[in-house]
Amino acid sequence: MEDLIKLENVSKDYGGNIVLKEVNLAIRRGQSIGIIGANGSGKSTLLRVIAGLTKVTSGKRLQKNNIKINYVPEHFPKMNFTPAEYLYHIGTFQGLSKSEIEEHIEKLFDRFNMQLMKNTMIKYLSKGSMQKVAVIQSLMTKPDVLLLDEPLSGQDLESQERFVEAVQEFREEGVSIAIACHENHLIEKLADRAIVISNKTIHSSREYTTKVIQFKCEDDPILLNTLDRMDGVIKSDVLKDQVHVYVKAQYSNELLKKLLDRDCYIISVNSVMEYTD
Amino acid sequence: MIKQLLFYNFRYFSRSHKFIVPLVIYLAAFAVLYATKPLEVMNTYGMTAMLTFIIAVLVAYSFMEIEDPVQQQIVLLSLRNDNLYYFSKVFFVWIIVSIMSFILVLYPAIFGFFNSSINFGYIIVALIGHLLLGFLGICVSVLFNSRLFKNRQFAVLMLIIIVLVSVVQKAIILKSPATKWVLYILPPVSLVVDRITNFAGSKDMVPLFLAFGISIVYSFGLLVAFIKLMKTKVF
Repeated sequence: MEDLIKLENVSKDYGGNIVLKEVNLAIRRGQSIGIIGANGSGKSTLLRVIAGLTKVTSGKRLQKNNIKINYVPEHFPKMNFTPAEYLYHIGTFQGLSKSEIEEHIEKLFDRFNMQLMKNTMIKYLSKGSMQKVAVIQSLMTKPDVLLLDEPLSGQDLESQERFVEAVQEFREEGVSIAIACHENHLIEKLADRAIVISNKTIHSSREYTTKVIQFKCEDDPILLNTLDRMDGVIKSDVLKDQVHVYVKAQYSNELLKKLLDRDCYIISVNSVMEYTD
Repeated sequence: MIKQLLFYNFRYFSRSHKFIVPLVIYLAAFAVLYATKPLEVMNTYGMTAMLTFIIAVLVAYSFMEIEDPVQQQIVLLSLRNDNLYYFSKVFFVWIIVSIMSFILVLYPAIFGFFNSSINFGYIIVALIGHLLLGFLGICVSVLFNSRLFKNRQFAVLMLIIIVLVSVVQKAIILKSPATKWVLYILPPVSLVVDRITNFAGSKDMVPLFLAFGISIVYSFGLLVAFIKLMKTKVF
C-alpha cells in the first residue's frame, strides 16, 4: 500500500516539554489506524503532526504531494456562525459549488438530525451538536486522509451510529483514516490496526486481522462440516448451540453473507487484536 | 477563492465586537479633526494619513485575534493554500482601511473644509498616501499576532513603541541626529507623512514617489515575512 504520510523519528516538544518522542508511523492509502492512549498522552498532538498543522521538533514528516486531509478537532470552537453558514464557507474552501454545498449539507443535516439547529448560532449549540458540525464539515468532500480526534464526544447514540456509517462509507471508498478516541468499540469498528501511545511514543501496534463471528444455525450439518474449508476461515468452535468462527478480516463480509443466505442468526462480530511489534 | 475568503472574513469580523474600539477611535478622531474650518489642505492630509496608519494597526491587531486557532486549522486544511489564506487576512483589513481612507480624504474636499481650492492631483496624492500608510500599518500589526508572540503584553508593548516611534521618527531625528540609523529601520511613516504634508505640486513628485516606493517595498517585505513566519510557526 502507498504511503500518503510518513513520520520518521518524529519528536515534538512545546517549550521543552516533550509530548512525542521518536515516533515512526506511516499512513497508508486505504488503511485505518486507531490511536489509543490515556488523556494527555499525545494523541491530539500526533494527529496534528500527521496533518502537518504543527512543526516537528526533530525527525521528518513526509507527505505525498497534493493530498487532501479533512480533520475533526477534539474541541470545536464556539462561533458566531450558524451551522448552515459555517458549512457553506467550508464547502467553498473545499472547492464545492453553491448547489453542491446545499445538496451536501441538507443530506448531512438529515443524517445527523440537525435540521432544527441549522440556523442557530454555533455558540449556542450543545457540546454534542457542535461536535456534529465538526464531523459534518469533515464529511462534505471525500478526502485522501480523514483525521478524527475524539469525534464522538458528547454525541447521542443515534448520531454515533450515523457517524460510524459515514466513516465506513469513506473506508470503502479507500480513504485513509486515523482516529483517536477512548471508545474501544469505535476503534474496533473503524480501524484495521491500533497503535498505543504511552510514555510519549508508540509502544505497540495491534492489527485487527481476525474477526470472530458468533452465530446460530438450526440443523445445518453441511454448513458446519464445510465451515473450516471456507475461504479465510482459521478455525471454528461449536459451543452448545452457538458457533464461533475465526476468519481473516478481509473474508469476513463474504462469510457473513453466506451465513445470512442460510438463515443463520448472527449473534456478534468482533475483532481480535494481534500485537505486531 | 479570494472572494469566498473575503466574505468569510467579513462575516467573522462583522459578528465580533472587535471592530468597535478602532471604529470609535476613528469616529472620535474624525470629529476632532473636522470640528473646525478652514483647514490647510496638505497639513490635514498629513495628519489623516498618520491617523490611517494608527487605525490600520488597531483594526489589523483586532482582526488577527478573532479567529479561533482550531478554526484556522480547519480552514487551512480545507483550503490547501496557506499563502492565499494569510494574504486574504491582510487584504480584507486593507479593504476596510481603504474605505476609511476614502472618507477621510474625500469628506473635507467635498464639504469645503479647506482654506484654498484643491485640485484633483492633491486628492490623488493624498489618497495614495493614505492607502499606502494603511497597508503599512496592517503589515506591521499582523506580525504581532498571538501565534507569533505568545506573550501578549510584550507584543502589545512592542507594537505601541514601534507605532509611536514611527509616527514621531522625524522629530526624534531632528533632536538627536545620532539616532537616525536606528530609526531608519522602523516603518517609514514619518517620511511618507512629511512628503504628503510638504507636497506642493509637480516639482515634488520625485521625493514623493521615492517615499511611496520605500513604503511599498517595506510593506511587502513585512507581508512576505508575515506569511513565511505563519507557515513556519504553525500550531
